[in-house]
Amino acid sequence: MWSFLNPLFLSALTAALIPLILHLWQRQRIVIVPFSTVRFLKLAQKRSSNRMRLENILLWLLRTLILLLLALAFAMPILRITSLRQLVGASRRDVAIVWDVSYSMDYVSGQKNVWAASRDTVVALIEGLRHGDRVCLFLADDDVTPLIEQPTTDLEMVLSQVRALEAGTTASQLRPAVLAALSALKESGKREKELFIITDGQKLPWTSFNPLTRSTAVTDKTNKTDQTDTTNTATVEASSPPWDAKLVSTDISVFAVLLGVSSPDNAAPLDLDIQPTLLMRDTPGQISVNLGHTGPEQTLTVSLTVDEQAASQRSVTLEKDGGAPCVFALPPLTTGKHPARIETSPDGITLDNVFYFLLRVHEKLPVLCVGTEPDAFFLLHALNPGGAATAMIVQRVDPQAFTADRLSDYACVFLCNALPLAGQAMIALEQYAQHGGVVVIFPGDRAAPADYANWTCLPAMPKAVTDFGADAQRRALRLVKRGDALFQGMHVPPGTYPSVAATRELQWTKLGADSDVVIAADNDAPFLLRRKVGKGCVLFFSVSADRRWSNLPLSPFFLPLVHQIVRYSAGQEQSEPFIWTGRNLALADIMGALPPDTELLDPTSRPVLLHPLKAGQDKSLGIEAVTRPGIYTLQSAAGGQPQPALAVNVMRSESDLKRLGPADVPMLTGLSAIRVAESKDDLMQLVKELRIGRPLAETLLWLVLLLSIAELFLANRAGRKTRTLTEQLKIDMTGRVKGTAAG
Amino acid sequence: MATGISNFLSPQELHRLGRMTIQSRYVVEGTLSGRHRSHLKGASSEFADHRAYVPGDDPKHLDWKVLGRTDRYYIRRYEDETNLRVYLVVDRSASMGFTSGPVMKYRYACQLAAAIGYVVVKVRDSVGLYLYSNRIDRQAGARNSFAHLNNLLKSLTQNQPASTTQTAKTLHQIAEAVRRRALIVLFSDLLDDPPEIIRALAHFRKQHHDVIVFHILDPAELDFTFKQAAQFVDLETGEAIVADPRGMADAYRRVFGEFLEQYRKPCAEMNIDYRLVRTDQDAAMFVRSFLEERKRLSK
Repeated sequence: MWSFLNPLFLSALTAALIPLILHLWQRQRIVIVPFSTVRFLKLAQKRSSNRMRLENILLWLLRTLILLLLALAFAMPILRITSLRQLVGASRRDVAIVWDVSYSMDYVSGQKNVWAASRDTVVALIEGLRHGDRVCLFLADDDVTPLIEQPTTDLEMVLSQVRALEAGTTASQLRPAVLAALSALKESGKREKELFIITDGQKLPWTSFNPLTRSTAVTDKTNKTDQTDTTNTATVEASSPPWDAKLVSTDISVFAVLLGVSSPDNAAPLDLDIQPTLLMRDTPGQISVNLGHTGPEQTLTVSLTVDEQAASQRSVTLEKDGGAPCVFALPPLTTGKHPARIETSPDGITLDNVFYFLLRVHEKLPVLCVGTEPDAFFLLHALNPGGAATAMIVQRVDPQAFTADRLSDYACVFLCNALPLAGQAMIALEQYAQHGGVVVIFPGDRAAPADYANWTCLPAMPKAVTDFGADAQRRALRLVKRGDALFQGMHVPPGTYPSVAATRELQWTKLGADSDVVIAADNDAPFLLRRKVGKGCVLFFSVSADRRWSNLPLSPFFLPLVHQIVRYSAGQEQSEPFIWTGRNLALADIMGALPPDTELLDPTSRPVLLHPLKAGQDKSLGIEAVTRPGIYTLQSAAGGQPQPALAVNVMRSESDLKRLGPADVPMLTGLSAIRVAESKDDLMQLVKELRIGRPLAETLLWLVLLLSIAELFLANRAGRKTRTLTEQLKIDMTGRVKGTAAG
Repeated sequence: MATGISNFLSPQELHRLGRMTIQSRYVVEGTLSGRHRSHLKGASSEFADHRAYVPGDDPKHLDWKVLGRTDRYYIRRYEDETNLRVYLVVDRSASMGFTSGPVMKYRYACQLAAAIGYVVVKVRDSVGLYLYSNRIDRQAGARNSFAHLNNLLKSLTQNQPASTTQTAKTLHQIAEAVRRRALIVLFSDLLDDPPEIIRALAHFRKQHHDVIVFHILDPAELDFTFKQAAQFVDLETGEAIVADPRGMADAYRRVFGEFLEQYRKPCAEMNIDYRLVRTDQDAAMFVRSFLEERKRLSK
């Protein structure tokens, strides 16, 4: 549908008659030229008349069209696409706004603040609505947060909420929010529907429309980040339906605005690794930090702070859009939890410049050994070789005296020829493993293979005991996976193989679920098996802990192995040094049970609200949203200094600011009709074109220019320079003709 | 107003032309002895052939050497040398009145005729004239005096282009009228039926005349360089046609090129010296160049 801003100029359309009038006028005042003969002219005219007529008609058409378009351009035509809809009564519109509130929106570069620009854009969109128009607003974070879920006509209320909103602390994905917005627009009936996606142009949130590109993007991160990120994302992706461009009906006009800077620059610590995993008092350690970077090559300062004391500082050069590792030496620490952080130089996004974590330093490791004194003799001496007070507190108990009380106090439980045990004790040990404990089983003569049948958490079921008698079998032991967490920090020189001479050993049935062979004897015979049970595990040797079955207790391999098992056990129990921001986190998963009369405080010292995660028997508590990065503390009702409990960091995938081009948006969303703007003004122009109409004057003037060039070419084509007959004939000065007439 | 040769050629041009000669490429028949070979046996020093003596022959022509060797009487015969008779055939049809520049085609033809006539008379050859349009308007026999040449040129001046043209018919009449071998020089734009004109030229050749054709054309006729659309009026028939020269120039050139080809090739086959002359060339210079080339080729 058309309308004109200067309809007066439409009268100039009569100018289209000018070429015709000029033609007729020219015919009347044609000059008379006497010529020697016209017979050649008649012949020539006969030959070229069709072409000339065609050219003349074409010229006339072009000239008429140029004048028509000029008149139209001055009349300022407006193409109103939506006028037809207005005719059928759809004059009101429903607007759904999807607003990216990830922390990358808080990017600041000089005077440009992306969040402020996005807020201005949302405000301008809402203020541009008329009375009766409705709006709904969805925030795109790591999932979707409906700020205004149902379209409302109360625009003032929406505006007040928008103006109060601050950028979030999570990563973002747009798909769930867009799906929610489309769902909200479904009820709009005959109203005009518009969907706006306000984002910073970062590639990451758009990849949620296409899982393949998202997985590619995420693999850029470190392994640990991958796991956490993909787990978090997978949860959200599973909860929202897959994207299909057909979900966007043709009557919905979709706009996207990419407000970020064209060349963002951001560096952030992405992940860290603490060695050793089990920190003991007064023992030095090492922290490796992976740094990520978007932007040109730069050098930045990275500092380590422990207990609010500057511990170390490094200068790191980062390549263009590349990362780099950075290693810090960890000073010896006292027993307890120490809040620490890695900090990079300030840049566009400040939120991801600090990486919080907790250092848990142990004083002693309590170990329980169940077995008679002869059976546990070598093990006890291996665990406490000097006999003096060491880092381990080893306690032995006879199998008959073994009770399941206070098992959780021990990092590890060794069973030395302890079976068979009472049913209650076996259940208690299984639960102990479920909650992160490690149970190590050495077989012995007390138990027949059938005695193991009642135990459901074994990696494999023993089927027989092979007795070699006097012919002890020498077994070369091999670590199946050298990088296994069990052997972390244990030094076995490459090419060296510990060996044992076995006189008796267990024969195994097939490996059970979640089980693996940790140490193999000779080639493939299992020597030490492991099964993951809940958060802990069960380790099962094929020989006993005394000399009756093998000389393992006397081998130099025995002592480091049992020490490694204890360290591994302590690490199993140990919680992660940090967690990522997230929703509905079980308290037990992230920090264990909350002590009575204790309150969890967030980094700003505000209490964190806890709520039961599930109804019914499981009354475990959860935190609805852990979105604020920093050190969370526990405050006892009795007062005193708050104790560090949790270190929370924002999801680092959002720190990757690789930018999306406007042309990529239709490709990623599959929406070919999506209108993409790169600023508020561009967006408002697009909206104006949709709502009011598209001014075509400029386009028409360009068209006039092109047609004028065509007319010029065509008009002068006839008069172009061609070889004259004199030139063709090559007449010399004596009148002799040396050439021939072409054609 | 100057009449005669001074009307067409300046003294400087006449001076330059004074050293030129025009040669016939064939033997000719003349009434006076001159520098051109005659088909008649005469008294020149050029031996021609022998013939048997018959009573009444002058004994001084006997070939005594042959008689001494063979005891037979033979008469030595010598080639006769005669003067050249040149007939200037000038077209005065209305189409010759066309000009796009300072010189009308007819005027240019007269200049050429004057120059050729001057060269002819200067070497004591004879010059005659045929002026025609759709008939022979004026004819004059060949004489070798400047007074005669001036008279011829006066008559050219007195007759201006007019009437239609019937070149072929007129040429046939001229071919019949000129009985003795001569050099026929035609000045015309040849805007007539080419096959008919070729036949008429063949008539001349059949009569053993040497023929030179000066095809006189205005540059605008050749290249059709008009810029504005106009109504073109035929000078001979008065027929009019409205045409846009820019759109049809190519086609015109093709058509006119084909027209010229209809003369060029047959003339070459009949050994007729065909020359295409543009009226924007200097006439005297053209004649000089033409005569020098003709002299060079006749050696």
